[in-house]
Amino acid sequence: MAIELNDDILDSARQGNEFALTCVYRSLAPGVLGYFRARGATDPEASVNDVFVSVFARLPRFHGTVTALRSFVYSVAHARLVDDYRRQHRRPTLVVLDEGLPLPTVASAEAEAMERLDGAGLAAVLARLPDDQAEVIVLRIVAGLSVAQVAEAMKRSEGAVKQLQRRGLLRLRELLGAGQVTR
Amino acid sequence: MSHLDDDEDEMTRFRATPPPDVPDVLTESGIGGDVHALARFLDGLAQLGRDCPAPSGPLLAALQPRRASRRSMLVAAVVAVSLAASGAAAETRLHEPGVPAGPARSAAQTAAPAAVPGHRMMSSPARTPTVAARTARPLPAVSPAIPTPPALPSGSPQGSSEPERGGPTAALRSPAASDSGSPDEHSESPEPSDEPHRR
Repeated sequence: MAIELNDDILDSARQGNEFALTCVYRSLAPGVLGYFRARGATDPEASVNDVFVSVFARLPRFHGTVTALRSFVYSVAHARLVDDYRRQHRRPTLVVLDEGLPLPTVASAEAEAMERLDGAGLAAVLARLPDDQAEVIVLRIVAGLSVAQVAEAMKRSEGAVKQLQRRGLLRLRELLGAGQVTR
Repeated sequence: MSHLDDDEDEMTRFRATPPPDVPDVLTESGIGGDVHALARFLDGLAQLGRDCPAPSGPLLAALQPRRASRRSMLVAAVVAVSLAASGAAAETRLHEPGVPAGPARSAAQTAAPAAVPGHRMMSSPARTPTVAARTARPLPAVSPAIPTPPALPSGSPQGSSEPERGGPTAALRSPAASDSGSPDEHSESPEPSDEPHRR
């Protein structure tokens, strides 16, 4: 059963109430998981756990409403994602080549998105966007944050967020609608 | 049927799929035209975290911070009791005739809230007159609630590792005090406070 997170629950969570903490997790974790999947994190589930361990540790000192908590959680998630990207760059993935395997066929972004509307397919399309545009779109769509909350989480102005959102969506429409982008 | 035909069929099926509600972000950004594919893509994005698993591992432990705080409260209580007792011992020493009141009192006052190891440095200069007083008369017994550290020989590494203690104290230390070892038990007044941490 979904419980709407409110400021009373947040107060209880701040005081260490286990039920309230579980409510915070159940309310926010799906969005955070979607965020990590959409941004192509190595291990999205583990990253979600890391984020909430960190958030719960800082919760007693957190003073703010549920709205502020959402922005705070995604700030932590963003920091975790940046760490993950750095680790990925530091440790390149080794792929064992097998001569028997067929070469991957060249597919358009649209075809790829159509074939598998899963995390990997969506993340592959999103990866074609500039990073800040992808971040805004994921935070708006997956996390369900408002423009103001995204601006707070990304430390940008609301105007800048709106611009990034518009450009990102136009680019996505171009990629998906025309199916002209190839690998 | 060629690969291209497959793609075309796929496209036809895709375009025939009714689009989800146009997300607000598209309206907000004034994006119109053919948004079928885009709306479907955004809908897929919104579903990404729906199968979020229940908390596990270290997160489960983080969900029960009360237990941790109870433990830390217990530790704090033990530290407070031992510090209060060591403060009382310092107060007793104040009333002894050979002890100058000023520095010893300030040492007792500063040692009382000292739960951190750094305070050992602050209280060490005040120990010098205390050692002189100890040689004159044995100290009263400390409350049995305080965990008594094992008696250390006078040349123990614990004592010699701190130059502040070794310098001025060595000059004042009488042979009786350095041989017996028992006064050193009391000179380590902040030590019992470490006990709960070790546990």
